[in-house]
Amino acid sequence: VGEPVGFREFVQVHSRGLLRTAWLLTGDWAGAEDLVQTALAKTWPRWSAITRQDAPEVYVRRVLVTTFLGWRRRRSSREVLVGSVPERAVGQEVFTGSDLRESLRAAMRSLPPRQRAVIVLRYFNDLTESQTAAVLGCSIGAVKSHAARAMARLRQAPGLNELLSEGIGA
Amino acid sequence: MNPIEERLTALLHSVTPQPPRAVSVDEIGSRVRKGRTMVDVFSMRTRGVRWYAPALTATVAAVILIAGGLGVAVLRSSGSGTPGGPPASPSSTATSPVPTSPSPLASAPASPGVHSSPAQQPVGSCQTRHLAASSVGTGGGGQAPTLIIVLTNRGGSACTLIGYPGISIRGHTASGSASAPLSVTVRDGSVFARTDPGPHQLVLRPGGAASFALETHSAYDVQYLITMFLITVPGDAGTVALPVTMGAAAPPGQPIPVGVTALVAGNTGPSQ
Repeated sequence: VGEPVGFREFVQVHSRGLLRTAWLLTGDWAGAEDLVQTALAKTWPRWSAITRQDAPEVYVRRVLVTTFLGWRRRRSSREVLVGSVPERAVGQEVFTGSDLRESLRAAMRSLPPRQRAVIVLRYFNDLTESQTAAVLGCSIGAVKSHAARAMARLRQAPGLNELLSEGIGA
Repeated sequence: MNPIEERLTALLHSVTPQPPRAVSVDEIGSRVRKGRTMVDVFSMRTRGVRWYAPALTATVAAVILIAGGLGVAVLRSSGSGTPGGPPASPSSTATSPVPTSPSPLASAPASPGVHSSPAQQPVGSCQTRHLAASSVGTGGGGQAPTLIIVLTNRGGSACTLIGYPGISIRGHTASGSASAPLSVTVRDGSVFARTDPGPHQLVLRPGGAASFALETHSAYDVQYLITMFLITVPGDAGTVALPVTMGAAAPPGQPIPVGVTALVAGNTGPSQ
């Protein structure tokens, strides 16, 4: 299976943005790299068709997010067996003190996967509600309700609540 | 977007770290060649918590230091949906030589908490998560709105800054209201209202500040309203978000031109 024409150039241009998106979804670089590589590997066999019909970055991002949600579905059944996840504790060893980045990571991880995906697509990838709905294959109403619930939760999150409160003037 | 959504957007853009390394096309290729089953096995494997962020942060910082030292400006394409895309080098960006070691002549005016580095001081580059940004309008020239942007070290230890800040922007057209990333071309050097001091190595003690002047152009009419600057500094991959309201104009179909001076010590920007 040869490398598709234009694939390498696309990865060079977009990998940083895709990795950052994936970091917000997974919360760590190992997971982010795995997610981006998996999503790109899925697009590889269809690359020439993808570049013909649509903006490839839109398509790849859709694959990225749906792959993430697929992982979460499969993993959620396993997590019952695994029990409590040691991720939090490990994170705290690495990031000491009130690190805003760690607060964001922890707050994002506290969100259910679909809410997390909506936050990332709407506010990091700057998609509209209807574009977000198209990526997730749900209604605009569902996007709105996921976003509202996620926002309410983020505004309660330790380390973020002050930044996201009404009172701060820009 | 409401103000809370704007703030969350700024938070996500400024706090999400830059990746430690690029995606390897060769690794993807080998996954594909191992077949579809293998891809599925990869996708299902437990992605345990492997934190190699700290070890790689230094590498990223070094890369960014080089990029920053070359005066590479961040070019954001509007509407492409890839915020945080890789920096491009706009043709009109002037590069200034940045000394790899501070020149003894490169002394900056003394101000509380800041001094020019007396040679090899073992102080790390300032990390954006420890920097707070604020701004003061100067009015600038009639067609060159100018801000003095102040970066204050909120960390617990001294750190160094050198050279020109990187700038990306968010905003909207004068008639619009929804902010999004806007394309920008950053030119390093003097601006209408202030003279570029050239790159100096600055040491910011805790509480110390450095500043630079930033101008846009508004030739007769304001086409864009900038609502957010995302500021990078050489030596760190993150950005500092600064909410603003600033007019700008650009030639048709071109990125918005922005001029920045090098950083100087203190909170009043370079002299005229």
